[in-house]
Amino acid sequence: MIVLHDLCAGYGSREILHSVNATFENGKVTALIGPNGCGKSTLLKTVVQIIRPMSGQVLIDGKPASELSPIELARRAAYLPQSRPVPEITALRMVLHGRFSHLHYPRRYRSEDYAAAEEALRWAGMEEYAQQSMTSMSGGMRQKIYIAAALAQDAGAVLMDEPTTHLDISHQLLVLDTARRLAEGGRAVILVLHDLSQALRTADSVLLLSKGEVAYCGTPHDVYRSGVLDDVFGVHIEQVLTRSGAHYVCSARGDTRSG
Amino acid sequence: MNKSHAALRFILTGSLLIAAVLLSLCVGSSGLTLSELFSAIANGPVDVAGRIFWYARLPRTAACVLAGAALAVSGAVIQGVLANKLASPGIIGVNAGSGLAVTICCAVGALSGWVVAGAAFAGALIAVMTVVLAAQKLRASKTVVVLGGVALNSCLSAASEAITVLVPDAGVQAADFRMGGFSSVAHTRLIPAGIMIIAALAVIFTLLNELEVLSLGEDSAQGLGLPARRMRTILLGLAALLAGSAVSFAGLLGFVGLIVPHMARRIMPGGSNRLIPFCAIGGAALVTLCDLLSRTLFSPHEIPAGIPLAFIGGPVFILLLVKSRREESE
Repeated sequence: MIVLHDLCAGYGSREILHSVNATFENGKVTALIGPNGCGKSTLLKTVVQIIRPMSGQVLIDGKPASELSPIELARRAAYLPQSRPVPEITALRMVLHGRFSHLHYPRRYRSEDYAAAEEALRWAGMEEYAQQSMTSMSGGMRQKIYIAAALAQDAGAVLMDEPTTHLDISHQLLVLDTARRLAEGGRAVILVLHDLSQALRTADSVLLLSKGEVAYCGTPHDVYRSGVLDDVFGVHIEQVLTRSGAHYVCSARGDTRSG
Repeated sequence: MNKSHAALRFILTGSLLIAAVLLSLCVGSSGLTLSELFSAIANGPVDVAGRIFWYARLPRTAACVLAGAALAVSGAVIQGVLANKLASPGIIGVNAGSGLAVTICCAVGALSGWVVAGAAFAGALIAVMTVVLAAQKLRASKTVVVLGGVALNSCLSAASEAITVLVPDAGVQAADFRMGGFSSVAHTRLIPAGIMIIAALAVIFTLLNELEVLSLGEDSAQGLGLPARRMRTILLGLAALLAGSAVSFAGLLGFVGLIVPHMARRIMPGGSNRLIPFCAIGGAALVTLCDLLSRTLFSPHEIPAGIPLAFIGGPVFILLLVKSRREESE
């Protein structure tokens, strides 16, 4: 479980996050949403201490993140950044690096690390691509490999920054399904998502950020009912109940076509 | 690529290196037969062949192997750490930094092998850290990092030239040093630098997984538990140690650190655990063969080894660029 207490963070002297309080529970998918520049990525980076907080605290499984070494931190929280260079290595090597925090210098992957990596690839349905180079994979396949690496990392929390961006719809759904399965395994899963309807449909809980502050935190239904989403994004959001559950439709304010 | 294919390519390149070393030991103005070679190894410098082997061929061949391995691995490490395939010790000013340090040593008469190798390392380290810190501060793109390195390279080379003009004694063997060559390799310089190269290679071979994780990007590396900034500094320090030590006795051999990692990536695709050892073997073989060409092509005249290296390296590099461009567009 990850708890944020009055967390303030930013770059240099510029504060982006202002006194953020939030709890991310194990076994739940939390969608982190908000307009561009509201501090979503900053929040994830602060949780894993890539950015040091200006004040306040991040607690991971009850321990202050600032007191954990990079190895201890990686064993508790896996982080998948928004963008990264595509490595010229095989999928298996990539997933194997998920085991990095379980070794000490001089690091040589052991047979149990290979077994964990192969198991993670199987879990993600990517075992047949184990020897394929990451450079020859589609964005969706790569994202599943990164998630498999997070699984092999065996951390209690998984933080993903915009994991569905630039993916086609089928891969978006696959990635979100994989994230759901991670949560079902007892992990706290935090997803930064830009697609509001996808976020409201996928998550157990939604943390809405606006200008670096928490605008609302609750279940998707509560967030929708509060009307805060409309104010923060400046759009009109409507819930449509279908046989497969609630869907959310966004339209520009004043646009009556969806209403 | 599966393990057996990789092993075969290692064996072939290793065989090429062994052949290059044997040729380098035997071929020259006074040729040695294989029986003379083995007799010289067994008996020491007791006759003419023994003295040629122990005082001329062995230091020269060892220098080629050490410089080739050091510069190629240094290039691969710098490219991995900066996630930039255009970065190499010859391009971003690392070689030029150590070249300036060596020139200063020559100008002030500090000619001890350890002093020259240490100064060359310091020069290389200052150059690489200047580029990296400036890039970090300015949040520079990969292209800007390379351009900044090229600018630093020019400044440092100009400083070396200025010292050579003002203190002519600092420019002893200037052509050999500027192009890179092994005609004047001395034990006094080779032994300290060789120890530093072997030590740096040994440490780098224990950090191959760290290097690969770092090449995933700083945020990813940190998320996997690697203290990215600290490891980047360590690896760049080791790369500077390799490049600086090589420059201290071989001069400014420019192309090795750029083309060998590029060739190695094509021949041995995969992670750093294969790439770096392959670069060491390939770099050593390439430089030894180029040195062999440099002293046999126009025999009895000798040209700096950097000249055949540039003549081979330039077209090969352009060919690699064209091929990878074609593959990208397919």
